[in-house]
Amino acid sequence: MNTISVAEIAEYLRGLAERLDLDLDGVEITGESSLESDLEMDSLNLMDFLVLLERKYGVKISDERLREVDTVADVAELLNGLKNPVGSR
Amino acid sequence: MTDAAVIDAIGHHLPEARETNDELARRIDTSDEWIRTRTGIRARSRAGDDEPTSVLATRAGREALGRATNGGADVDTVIVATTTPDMKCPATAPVVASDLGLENTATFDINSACTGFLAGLATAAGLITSGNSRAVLLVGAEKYSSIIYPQDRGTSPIFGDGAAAMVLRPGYRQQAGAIGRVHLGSDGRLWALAHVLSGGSAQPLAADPHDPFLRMDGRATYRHAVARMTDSCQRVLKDESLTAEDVDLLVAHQANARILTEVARELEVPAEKALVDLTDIGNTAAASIPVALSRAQEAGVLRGGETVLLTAFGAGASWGSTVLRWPELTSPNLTTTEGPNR
Repeated sequence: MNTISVAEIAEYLRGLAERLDLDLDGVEITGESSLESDLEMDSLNLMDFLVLLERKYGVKISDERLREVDTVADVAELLNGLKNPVGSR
Repeated sequence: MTDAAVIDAIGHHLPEARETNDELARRIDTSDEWIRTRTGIRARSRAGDDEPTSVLATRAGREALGRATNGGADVDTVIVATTTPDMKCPATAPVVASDLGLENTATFDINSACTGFLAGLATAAGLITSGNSRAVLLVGAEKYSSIIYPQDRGTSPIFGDGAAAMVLRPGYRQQAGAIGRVHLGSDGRLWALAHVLSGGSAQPLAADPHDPFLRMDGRATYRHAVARMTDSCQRVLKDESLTAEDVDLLVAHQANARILTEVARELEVPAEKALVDLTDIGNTAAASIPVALSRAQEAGVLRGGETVLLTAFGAGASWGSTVLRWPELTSPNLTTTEGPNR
């Protein structure tokens, strides 16, 4: 079972900075970084980011779960939960 | 024998009044910058108290009829695509037909929210090719300001009021302006994405002050809109053996500028070929596609011969797409804008 780390998501996000119209130069990305308040995403490029993550990891995030995402750690937890659902091992 | 419905004329009507972002920011917690970066909208059109949807639709209809072959004298069917009818009952279309002086016409409304105009195109084409209609006046008309909760910062900045009308008549599949396959789809499980709770048979009366007005889950709507419009466009392009490279103009439902950019990116249609026509009017729902087409025709962006890809996503959830070759239409500035009857 491969776990998706906060560092992996942070690196992926940096690679998408131009695509998502974000200025992440010199911005530290940690698990606690809030996507909207710290990384200055708005609700729409947050959606774009989550859709790109769905494709990258082959998962489907429900509309309900979309609303729960705040920090980078939330994203990692969500993706790991979807990739490795409890009871699937 | 004819085998297709073809576009004969188009016209639109937008109310004069605009509510700017700064004006909006005086009454709700928002700002010009917040609205512009998320929607691309600077002002939205606002119909007056004496301008219900039928008035907007009639003015747009009169303009289209004035440009139509024989002044649209053979129009025997009027279809109004709207989410904001004048009344819950009857439909708005008979009122519009009457106000246009069109007597004994078949009239009905189509309620498919922002997909309404494309559902109307499919319906009009079917009526014409089956011989049930000689010529159809198809109107997309909305007074969305009538279902916007004034304090809702999610919907107030987005929606505008307006109408556009198209005359369709019998023709041939190979002709420019012929309506081909219109791909339509829906997923009723997503009804809550955008809905008005009260006023229907499930809940006739409002239990909460917000119930008679639109509620919208902006985040989820954005995601589904991009995915469904992209998929639907790819289907119609494939059906017509076309690729994104063949598209001269992508006219997507003008929901917000960011959705338009994203759909173009997903389809690999260059950004400059994706029409953005909402900056000064907002999202006019079922009217947005024909308003954009009519204004593109007036501005000379569409001259005839262009391959135009139309796509929409709206409440339902519903979506649809079609691709057509734009016809050479009578230049609006060479004709009278007065209709045949009034």
